[in-house]
Amino acid sequence: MGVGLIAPLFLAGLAAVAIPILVHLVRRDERTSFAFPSLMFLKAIPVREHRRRTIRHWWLLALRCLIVALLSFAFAKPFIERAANSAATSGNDRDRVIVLDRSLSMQSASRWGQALKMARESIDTLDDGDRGALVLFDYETLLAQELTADHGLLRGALANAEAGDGDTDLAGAVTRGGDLLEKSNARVREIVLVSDFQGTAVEANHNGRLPGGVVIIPRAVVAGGEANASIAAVTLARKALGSGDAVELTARILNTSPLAIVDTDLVMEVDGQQRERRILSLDPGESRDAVFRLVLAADELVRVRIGLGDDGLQADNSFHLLVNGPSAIATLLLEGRGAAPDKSLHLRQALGQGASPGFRITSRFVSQLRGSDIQNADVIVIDDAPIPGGNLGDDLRGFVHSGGGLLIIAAAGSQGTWPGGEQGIVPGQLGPTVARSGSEVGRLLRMDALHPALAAFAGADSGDLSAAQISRYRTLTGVADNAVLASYDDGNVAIAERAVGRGRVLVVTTTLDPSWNTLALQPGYLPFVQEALKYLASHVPATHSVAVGETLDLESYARGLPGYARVAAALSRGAVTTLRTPSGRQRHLVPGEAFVDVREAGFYEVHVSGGGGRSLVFAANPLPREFHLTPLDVDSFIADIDVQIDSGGTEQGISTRDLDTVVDQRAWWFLLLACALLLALDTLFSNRLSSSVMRS
Amino acid sequence: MKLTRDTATHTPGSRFIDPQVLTRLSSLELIAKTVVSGFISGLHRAPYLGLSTDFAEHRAYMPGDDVRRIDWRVYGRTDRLFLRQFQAETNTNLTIALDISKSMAFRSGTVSKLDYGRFLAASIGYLSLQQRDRVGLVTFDEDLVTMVPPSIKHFDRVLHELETATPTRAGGFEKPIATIARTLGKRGIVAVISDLYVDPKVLLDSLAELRHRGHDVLVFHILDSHEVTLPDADARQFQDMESGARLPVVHEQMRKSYASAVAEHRETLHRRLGEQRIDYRFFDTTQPLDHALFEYLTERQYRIRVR
Repeated sequence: MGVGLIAPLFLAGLAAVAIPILVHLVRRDERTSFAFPSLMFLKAIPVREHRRRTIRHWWLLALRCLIVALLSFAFAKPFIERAANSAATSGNDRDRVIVLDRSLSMQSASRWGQALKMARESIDTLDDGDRGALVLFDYETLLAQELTADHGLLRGALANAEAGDGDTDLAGAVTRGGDLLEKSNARVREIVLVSDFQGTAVEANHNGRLPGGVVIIPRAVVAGGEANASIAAVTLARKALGSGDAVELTARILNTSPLAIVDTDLVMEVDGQQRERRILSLDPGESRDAVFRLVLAADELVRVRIGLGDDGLQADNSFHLLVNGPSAIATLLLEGRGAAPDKSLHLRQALGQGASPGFRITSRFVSQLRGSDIQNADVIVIDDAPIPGGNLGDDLRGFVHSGGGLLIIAAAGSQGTWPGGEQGIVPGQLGPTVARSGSEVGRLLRMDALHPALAAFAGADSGDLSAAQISRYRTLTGVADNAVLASYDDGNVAIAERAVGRGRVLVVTTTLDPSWNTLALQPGYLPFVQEALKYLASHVPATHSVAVGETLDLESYARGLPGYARVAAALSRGAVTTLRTPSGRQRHLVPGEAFVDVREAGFYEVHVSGGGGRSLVFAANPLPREFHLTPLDVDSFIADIDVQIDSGGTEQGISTRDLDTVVDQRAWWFLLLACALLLALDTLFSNRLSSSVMRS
Repeated sequence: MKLTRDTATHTPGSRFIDPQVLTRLSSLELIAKTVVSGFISGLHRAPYLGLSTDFAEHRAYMPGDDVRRIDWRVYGRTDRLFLRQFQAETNTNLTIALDISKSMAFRSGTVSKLDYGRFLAASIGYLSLQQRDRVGLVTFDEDLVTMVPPSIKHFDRVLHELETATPTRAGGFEKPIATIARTLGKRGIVAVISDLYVDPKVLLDSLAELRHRGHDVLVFHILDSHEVTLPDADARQFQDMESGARLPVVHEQMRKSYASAVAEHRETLHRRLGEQRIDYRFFDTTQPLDHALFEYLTERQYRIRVR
């Protein structure tokens, strides 16, 4: 039997005992004047003023010092350890949940071995009839073994446990352990929490909750003096370079340990082949950027691993990412016969800026259009030209239905019958041209900046196109109100949208060259054109890596990868999908639910039937916060756990450090009660003293 | 009733009554009777000491009677000793001037100075009434508060005024004593009961007016024991009960000086008043009242003798 403190720092409050002593020493009681018949003689006596240094009312001072000391001791949360009563806990009197940390940090050196040993001890110290359960946790909890009196099952579940790549959620683990014990009727309910207790494992103000009366037995895995560096992040910068892209990868390397790292390797591997090797030294706590460069051709997709040499924690020494070559939106530009050579100059120039993504423009006269042109396009722009008819018209409709994007720039050349209505693809009926000039020149008003196609104007200071002067435009009637994205100052439709199948059609009722307006001269012209086409092409930015713990939508991911449109389409159709994890495990995903819970760091491969034979690859990396191995204050963590008051009383969750002992923390309440009584006594005595002084 | 014997007094054989015991008696008249009867029995004196020559009756001689009052003529006729009894007359006017200023309310025990003054006034008054003196009462603070003219019949009023006297204002002497001097017509005895927080010169100047008008003046100086020696109070500052002024007090430094100042004040009063043939008696509130009465009575007899 012994006495310990959960929060010994509060004992510093004992210094506050000095406060009542000082008060008694220096108190100048101005309030309690002594009523005296006359000051006639006192006034005549010269007084040398000095502070009183004598202590009066020793017993009151002692009482107050005792109160302060007791309060300080109470807040230190004393607990009494006593040996567990084996006889009392025979039968099913003890339920113990072993909560084992299997996060990435537990892979460090001997931590996992220590943790397994502690967990085994927890099982071994269970008496016959005692029940045990095993919960593994990182960012999520896994019930490896439910409460059972068969300790062999527990040992078996423990033998299968492995450390993973996830980050740590201590609060969730404690809560899960408490949930398991909530329905338990055992006299002793306890959680053995085995962890390295990383400081980053607990979010502020979230320490979990426990049912009342549950004992927490923290078993901290002791980390040795390990040097540890990690690659916290890698950022990409891309620059168009002829037919390819120059990609610059900047790796942020951290030394998260208190030890210096000297001459460690830093390598970049591309598709498993080492491309570059450097020697690196880092002081304790130092961070440094390392830049690597790649040149990738169009449609090239490579697996890149940036790795560090061996140190205390291997799991954070690699950063995996998938880097693609130039990704461009295939844009088919259709012009009317007889269009001026520079008809689409502004549009081409605007689309030619930037490389992420770029726009690969193919120009055709409508009369020269072939079916293959439509098939190879991501988005088609009909620039002041008649809509194709016949089979090509059907192909165009099919293209849009299957998810393609169509931008119609309606102007004088937009002749012929446009397929409107339910069977058509245009959001309304094109009407005559409206000419406005002089003081009646038109303006663009009421732009729906929340629409993705106009996202360039969503910011508070991003401007708009309202400064442009519109001298001519085509009318567009029969457009549903919710399909209008922008309109002119006279109420006519400027931009309208229509969803056709899985694709979208945008109609702009004036030109995107300076012949009818000054839109092309506005600063907002370029972003407007690019965002509109990206929207129509359903462009998704490529994802280079995901974090362990995320859930990845494979279809969306595939759309972002250049050349994986067929894979994305197959996934959308519910194709049979097989996942191969970095550790080599394979599993089939449920058709139509192509979501992956990313649990391991490294490269995942996804085989999609009907995907054209290409494997979808994605890279996963641990969350950087898991790399910090500095432990938290276990006592404070436990003290801050929310303890639910059970229906039978107010017993609190308690903690201990020894498996063979039971800890009673109720002394806290008794001390507080004693303080309250002493305070009442102090008040009583003080009042009596005060009144006696006043009376005299 | 608790009786105590004060061996330090100069009245052998007398039994002195603790003033604290008197506070338990509700009636001021009963207090006065208790004090006076005890005092009288202690003195073994006849209750009537009048100087009238109007013969009333004879009574048998009792040991202790004044042999000068034996009627030798009756002895010659009857061969037995008889004393001549005379019809007592009212001898003089007694006016009790009781200070009821706020400072008189001070007390360190159960008896305040005002209480002590009340008991003293009632007892003196009762005793005087027994001697057929006319008894009057004046209460004063910074001014005259109440006045009961000296009369043989007004003792009930005197007692009533004594009982209802309440300290409400600060004290003073010049104005009230001057008023008393102007008001009292016939010469008599004026007994001033006060804590005398006043400059001796001011007091003498005030009482001189009474003396010039032929009054015999007795001054009973009453202080609480805490006023004689500075009390060891917990408070850091003292507040004047009358003016409300506050003064920081360092007990360790001031106690000795204070006691010396009070003693010097008493000595000055005793000396200066004596020079003016004004009798001065000092009492603290723990002192038995009988002693005060004895002092008074002795003084009164002396006054009558020399008159």
